[in-house]
Amino acid sequence: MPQYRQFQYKAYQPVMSPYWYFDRWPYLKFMLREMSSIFVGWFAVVILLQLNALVSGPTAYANFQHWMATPPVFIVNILSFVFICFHAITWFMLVPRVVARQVLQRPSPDVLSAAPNFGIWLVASVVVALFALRVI
Amino acid sequence: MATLNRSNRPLPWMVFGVGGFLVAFFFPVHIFIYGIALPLGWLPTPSYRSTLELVHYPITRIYLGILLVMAFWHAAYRLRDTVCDAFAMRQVDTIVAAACFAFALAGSIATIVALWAVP
Repeated sequence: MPQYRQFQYKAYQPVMSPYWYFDRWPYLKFMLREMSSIFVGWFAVVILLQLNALVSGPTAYANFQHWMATPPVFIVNILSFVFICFHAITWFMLVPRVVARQVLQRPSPDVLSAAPNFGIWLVASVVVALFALRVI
Repeated sequence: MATLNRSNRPLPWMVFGVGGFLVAFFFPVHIFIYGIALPLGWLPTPSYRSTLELVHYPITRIYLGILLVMAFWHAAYRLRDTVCDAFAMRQVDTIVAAACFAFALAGSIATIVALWAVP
């Protein structure tokens, strides 16, 4: 029977600040990218409201257009544009991280792997704009 | 005999991934046109009739349906983690997840109803 007190292991309990994402810029960048989801939800609702106004008639659609031009809504839309472009760029730049790629047995540059996404983004934007503005 | 527990995580992750691509490709141009350029008068505003005509095309309705449903689920999947991480609420993850996915479900139903209601 030992006369000394046996060493007691203490469970490791990491201490993490609730606001850990302010500690370093990459953490904050991660959190800002995640926050783009708020603006995705917002603008999905806006498109639904636009659709509803369109179905309701010319007066309702004119009211919707006036509402879109009010300062609070306009500012949220600007923020949405910035955050969703940030989402798009970071999303497209993930491709080189998840796809095994090589050209002539050498790893291809990140930009080359991500480039097709940016090309598709440009073409998709032009096509949607031409339809939305009723050019075609 | 050991029971093989297969995670159902890949299914919502696939919806999140597809939604992420669709949002990245198509949302910026929607926001730019309807949220910025038209309110500022940078572009000529198409008439009500021509915009309604656009929504009459089945391809437009299919496009909007897929885009919006996927966007709602993408946003919900990411919003759940954002709320839990930003406000240290991981211990109530189930409630946050339920609220976010209920929002996505409501948005999806509203999208289908709105597209169905187009005359």
